[in-house]
Amino acid sequence: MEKASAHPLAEALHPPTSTGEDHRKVLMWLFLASDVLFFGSLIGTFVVYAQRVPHTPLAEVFNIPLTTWSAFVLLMSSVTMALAVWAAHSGKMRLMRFYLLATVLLGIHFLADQGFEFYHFVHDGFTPRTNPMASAFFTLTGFHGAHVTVGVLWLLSLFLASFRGGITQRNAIWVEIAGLYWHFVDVVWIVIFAVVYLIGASFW
Amino acid sequence: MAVGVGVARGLTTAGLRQTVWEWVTTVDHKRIGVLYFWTVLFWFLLAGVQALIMRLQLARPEAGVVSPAVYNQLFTMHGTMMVFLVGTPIASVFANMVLPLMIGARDVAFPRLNALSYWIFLFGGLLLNAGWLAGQVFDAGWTGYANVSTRPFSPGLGGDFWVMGLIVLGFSTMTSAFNFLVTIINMRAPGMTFMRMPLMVWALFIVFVLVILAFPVLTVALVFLWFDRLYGTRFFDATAGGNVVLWQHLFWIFGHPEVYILILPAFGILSEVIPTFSRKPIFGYASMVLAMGVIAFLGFGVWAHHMFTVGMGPVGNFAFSLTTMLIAIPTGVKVFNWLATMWGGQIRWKTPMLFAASTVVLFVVGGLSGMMHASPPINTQHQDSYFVVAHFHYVLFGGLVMALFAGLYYWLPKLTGRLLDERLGKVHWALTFIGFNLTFFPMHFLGALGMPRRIYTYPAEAGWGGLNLLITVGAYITALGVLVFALNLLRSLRKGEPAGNDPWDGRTLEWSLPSPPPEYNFERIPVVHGRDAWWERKRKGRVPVGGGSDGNPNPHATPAAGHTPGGTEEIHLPKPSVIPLILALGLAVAGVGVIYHPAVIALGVAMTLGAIVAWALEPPLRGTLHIRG
Amino acid sequence: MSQPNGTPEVHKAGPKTCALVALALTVITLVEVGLFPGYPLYTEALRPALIPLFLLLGAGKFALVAAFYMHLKYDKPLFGGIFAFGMAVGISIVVSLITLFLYYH
Repeated sequence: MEKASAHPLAEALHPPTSTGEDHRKVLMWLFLASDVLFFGSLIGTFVVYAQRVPHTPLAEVFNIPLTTWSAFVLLMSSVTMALAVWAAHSGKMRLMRFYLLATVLLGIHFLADQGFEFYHFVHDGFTPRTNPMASAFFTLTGFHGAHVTVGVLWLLSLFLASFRGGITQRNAIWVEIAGLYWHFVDVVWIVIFAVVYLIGASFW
Repeated sequence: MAVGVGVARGLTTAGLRQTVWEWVTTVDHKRIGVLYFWTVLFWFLLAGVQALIMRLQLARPEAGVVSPAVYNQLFTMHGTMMVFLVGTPIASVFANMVLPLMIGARDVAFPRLNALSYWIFLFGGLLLNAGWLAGQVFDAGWTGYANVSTRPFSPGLGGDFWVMGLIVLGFSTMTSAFNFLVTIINMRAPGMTFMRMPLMVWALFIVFVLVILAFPVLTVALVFLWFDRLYGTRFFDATAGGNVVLWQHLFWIFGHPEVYILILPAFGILSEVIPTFSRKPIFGYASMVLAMGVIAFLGFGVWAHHMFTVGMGPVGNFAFSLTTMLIAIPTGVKVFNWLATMWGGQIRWKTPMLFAASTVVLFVVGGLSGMMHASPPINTQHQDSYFVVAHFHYVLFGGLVMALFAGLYYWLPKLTGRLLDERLGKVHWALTFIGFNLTFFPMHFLGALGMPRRIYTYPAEAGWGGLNLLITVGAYITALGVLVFALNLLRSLRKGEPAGNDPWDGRTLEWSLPSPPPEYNFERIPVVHGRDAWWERKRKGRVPVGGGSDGNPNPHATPAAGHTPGGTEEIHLPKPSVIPLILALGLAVAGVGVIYHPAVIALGVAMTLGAIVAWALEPPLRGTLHIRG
Repeated sequence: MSQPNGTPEVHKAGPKTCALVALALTVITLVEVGLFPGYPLYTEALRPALIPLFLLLGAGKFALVAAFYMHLKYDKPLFGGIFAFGMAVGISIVVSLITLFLYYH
């Protein structure tokens, strides 16, 4: 049997698994299934309150062009992430680093857009304390932003680790599972964009 | 080092000196199971004492044992602790103690994550109870209904400790669940398909699936309460249009699956103990699996039966009443299967079997009162009365705790190497059975007579004094039983009879190993050809596959992949680590910071992030053991 | 049982697929926003169908990212199964919550 590589990120020796799949990949999918429930409850609460609570029409609160741009940015970050995963699996480490960095920068751009958006909301008197719908909105999008932040930090760490030979084709699974997380966070935003922003500003 | 020796030595001064660091950095699931066990036992005793104080207060009308305020804190914390610090972690207790052994695995999928789940459990439990130190304890019931639980009506710090403590504890439960789900999915011995797994493993699998789906919803509800209490959001502010019924929905969407999370491990224990002590395979294995799956699935569709009186209207009530009644069917299937297993078997009435058989009976009683609740008109009379208290104690104490004792008498010897005493066990059982029924059966009558729950006293004219006194006597008899158990436990650790590999003539793989097992569990990973793998091997005359204490090599063992036939087995040992403890501490510190000061949040977050980085950089393996075949 | 991480997974979504999906995602987003009241694709007649349309378009993007970027199309059904299960429970709960509050509270 081979010895475990000296670099700590190198794949720990895995005996054969019952499914043939890596433990960490199974773990990430289980985590994502669980996170669906977390965001589902937040979205459900928002929808309930958006319909019931007296509040300023969302069409007057939201900036659809800005939000469309940031949603697009996040979508494109999923593209770069998918390319990073492909590059890692293909052994093209420099290309992987490029795409990882691109994803990080797009993610930071998304967060900056959100920060800008929140700043203006608060400035206009739309805060988490304004009414229950607002509380739900800020909590939902805030936790999503926190998920993006965690993702940015994670991808940044992978980017940095890859410089010392930490990421190789052999342990590309690390990039793959980070990618799964990142795509999930994007997918949640796809739902939020449709339900909270588009439907919200059209009807509530 | 052997777990049992460590536990026994831990009770001596020399042991304490030596083993603290080993325990603090352990990533051995068996040791983590022991840590979980002692911690759960501690919380059980504490919550039990709270119950005894409440019973003292209620023993006669207009008693003055405790003030109304303290009484409210007692029933709140008793319920919270029993559900979150005793009932919920029982799955983790048993999963850690025996799950890898039962599936023929040397370890869990993520040893450090496993350790993390324990340390978060410990610190989370302390955070939850920190209110006692601050003199401010939550008092709005374990269900924390808004808006009694919001700041205007629960102004003290107690509510904040409750909320933050439960949020932190949620991470423990979920971490444990994720780890064991991957373990079950990915680390079964060759030949052990899902339909050949022991039913205990199936039960735990379904429990952990429920955990990862239900706990996020509780987390959301708690976050809403946290933000309302501390940051002025308006989730449950009725004056701003907030809806307090939302809390109830979110809480019970979690809460109902939670009660199946509580009881399914008991079902698993019964499905192991009853066949073993009846010398018969479980009747209807496949239907048992299906029944548990259906219960779990339906369990997500019944939650509003806790809310029949909030005003959902007849259609809403009807829908939930229907699903609630349906769930009796798979449960009934399980009960009949346990009975059918016993029918025609050669029953040995050892202590585990006494507890297991009583569980079936008492759970059925609890199930019947539950079915009564399922009818909305009847429910209107039951709601918030002692009838409810009777129901859930029958299913949770009569069902879960009795099964817990069955499981402990059955499996602790595997971990400690020492049997518990049979005679003391039978005394424990008798006191518990009698005491329990004396305590909780009269509560059905009290409820029917109109006594509300969560009241600190009652007037003499109500005529409830006699039954209440009887109940209090019953409670203290039950407590005596617990005392006997504690004595039995301590005695067993010091000088209990050695258990040997297979004291019960068991059916599953853990009984093929020495008691306690070596750190790596199996010298050779067994190959499985059917259910009750160990039983089959014994019947076919094969010697222990896992590496018995007699040390004889097994000519029948099929080498696992990666092993040279006739050569050495390579076993990879995980590296002990203190990082999980530090990460867990960081979370708890952040929780304290939320309540007291942002600087402390920063400290907690820094500890957590630092621990995560250290974790990523730490090599997971400490070495390779070579065992000559 | 096979060794995990054996062969590199170059047969999965490569640059061409990624680009095509990216194009599709962009187009769908443009259509979505175009349908928003006051924007080019919107008409009053569409209003009753707007919610289903937004949800459908969003679901389309969701499916594309899940299938191609998260590799569900290429992977064992195990992973899709795990995720689908979580989604099924999650969606039922959201729908139930909304229904209960819409009609019964």
